[in-house]
Amino acid sequence: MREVLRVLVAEDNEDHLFFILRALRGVDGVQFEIDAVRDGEEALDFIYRRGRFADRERPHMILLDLKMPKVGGLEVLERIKQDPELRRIPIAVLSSSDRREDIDAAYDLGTNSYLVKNPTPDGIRRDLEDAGRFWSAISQLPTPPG
Amino acid sequence: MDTLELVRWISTALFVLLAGVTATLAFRLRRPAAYWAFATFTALAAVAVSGRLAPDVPPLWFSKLTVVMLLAFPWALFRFATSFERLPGWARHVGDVLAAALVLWTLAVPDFPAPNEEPSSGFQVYVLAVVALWVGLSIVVAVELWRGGRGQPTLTRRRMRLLSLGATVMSVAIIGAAYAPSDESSVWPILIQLLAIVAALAFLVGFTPPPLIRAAWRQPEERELYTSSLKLMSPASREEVAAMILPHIARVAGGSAAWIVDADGAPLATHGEVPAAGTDGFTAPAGPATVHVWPSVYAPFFSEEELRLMRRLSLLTGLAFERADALDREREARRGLEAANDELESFVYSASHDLKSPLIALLGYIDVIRDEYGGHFDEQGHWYLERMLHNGSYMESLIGDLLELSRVGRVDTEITPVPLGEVARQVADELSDRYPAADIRIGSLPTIWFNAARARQLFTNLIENACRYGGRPDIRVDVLSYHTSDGGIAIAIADDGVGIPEQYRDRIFGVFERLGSEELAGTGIGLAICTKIAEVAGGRLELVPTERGARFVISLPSTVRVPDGAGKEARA
Repeated sequence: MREVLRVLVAEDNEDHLFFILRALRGVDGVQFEIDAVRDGEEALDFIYRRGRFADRERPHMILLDLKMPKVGGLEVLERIKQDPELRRIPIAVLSSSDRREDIDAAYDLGTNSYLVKNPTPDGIRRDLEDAGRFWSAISQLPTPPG
Repeated sequence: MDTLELVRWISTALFVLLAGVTATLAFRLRRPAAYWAFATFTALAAVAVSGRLAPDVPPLWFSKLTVVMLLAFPWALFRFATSFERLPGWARHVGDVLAAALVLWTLAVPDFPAPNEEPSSGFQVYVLAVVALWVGLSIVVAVELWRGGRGQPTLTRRRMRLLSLGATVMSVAIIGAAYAPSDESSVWPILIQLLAIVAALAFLVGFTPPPLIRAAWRQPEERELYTSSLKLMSPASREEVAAMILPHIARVAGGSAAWIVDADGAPLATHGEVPAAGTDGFTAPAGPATVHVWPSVYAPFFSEEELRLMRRLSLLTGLAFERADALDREREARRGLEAANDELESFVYSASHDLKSPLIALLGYIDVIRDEYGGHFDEQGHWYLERMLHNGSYMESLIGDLLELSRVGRVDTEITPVPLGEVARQVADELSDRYPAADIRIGSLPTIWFNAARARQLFTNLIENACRYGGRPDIRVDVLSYHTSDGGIAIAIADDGVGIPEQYRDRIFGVFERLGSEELAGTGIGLAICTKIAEVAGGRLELVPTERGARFVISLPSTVRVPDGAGKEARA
């Protein structure tokens, strides 16, 4: 159990981002330090510490929306999971699709979990709260790569 | 009249008949071969007749004339054979020269020996020369006609070989006439006449086979015509038709080469070596295309019937072309339709996907407002929020159902034996929470080849529709199945509720059509999904007229039946 967990959230929809941040804030016993990026290109820049992200620390985990402009979520997922240095960072994929093919494709690329954005009032809130609790309190997290 | 006289008259009569037959042929065909045939047998008939009418000791000029006419027979027969242009030109000239030489010799012969006189040696040489020319020319004709028959249609081949036989037998007869003892008491003259009769008959059947023989010898080609016209039913494109039928057409016409060209002159198929330009061929229309056959040189004289067969086959080929064209057009249309369908389905899919995103935001903010500002609202305010949520959920079901509709037939297509009774009972159990008073009875339902998820969808939609629109909570719903008259299976979901007014009976199958307000819940897509599920399985969904209530029947083809032993029927 960590006190402060760094989470990279990649989400292009600002409303959805708002719900995600709100949900993570509601998780007791842990403080999430959240960095938000708006597309896949920024996500990769962040994780590789390029440009304005040069002095950022690596996150404890990544919340990755699949449908993003410029570089899509699946490509970001693939790049990170194929990089021996970054591979260990747990990634939770966010998607509005619950199709079998999409779920399997994400796991084939190495995602650690797959969350579906439910179009219900509290869908995102409850799932993200539960996920936050799981990753912070139940499952052990690896040390972020230096 | 004694035997010899009798057979002499018979052979004469046959030769005259032959002359008449060849005259008819010449008149009808008007080809060089026919004229030569006519000349040949007129000469022979003339010799035979004059032989009957001649005095016992004919004058010299009469005998010489007879021999000259006799020489005309093999020479004209030779010219008949060469008229098919298969022998080299010089052969014709050699034949002409030899025949002319012998005619001159005949005219130069000083005297013919009397019947019992010993012939001079010069005369013997002369006779030898005549016989040699006769036999020589006849052998050339016989070989030419026999070999020419190879590869020809059956009737043509047999006729040619009969003529060949006739020529050969006549040669033997002539040799006999020249060298066999000629005293009237021996058997030789009769034998020779019999040989002549056999030859005449061979020529007769060769030139004009009687209908029975004609029909019998045409059998192989008729059979070929029949089987190949059956084969015309299967090929699906013009090129396939042409490639398949062309060898048959060529064979039936006895030709060595044939091709089929379409209306623009482009060849659809070729068979064999097409001869150089300028060679005559036969053309027959074949619907939108044309068939060209280069028959053998013998065809115009011998193969009239075969050419008629070829024309028949070409007409049938024309029909096959038109059918292939129609199939092509249908394929194109279907491809276009499928492409449009695919496009529509992928559009519906991506549209419904895109619609989810803002919906998530809308609903999420309602949740946020309730959470952070809920205390500030009175009952009315909460009710407004409630209505917003309700509409959002409804939108979510609509999008979900549209997505489902676009996916029927493309996703979840795995077919397994599905025990319908079990599935129906599970659905009834699930529905009993929402409709506790409803009386859902599941009859004996078979196990069928289907997709389990789609079967469940069918029952869920139809049984829930009955509960929802029945008009009272204690509605009774029966789920039954029976065999249809075409061997298929029908599943009926019938209720005793308020039924469906007649004016809506067709509309309810459309997308977004509902019979109640949204309050009754339901997107109006359910029946459209069910219809599509049934259609994808090769069946249909219908609303059957009933006295009271509503009765929906899913009809499925016999192919969904699982043979007995592979699945048990579910019992209620």
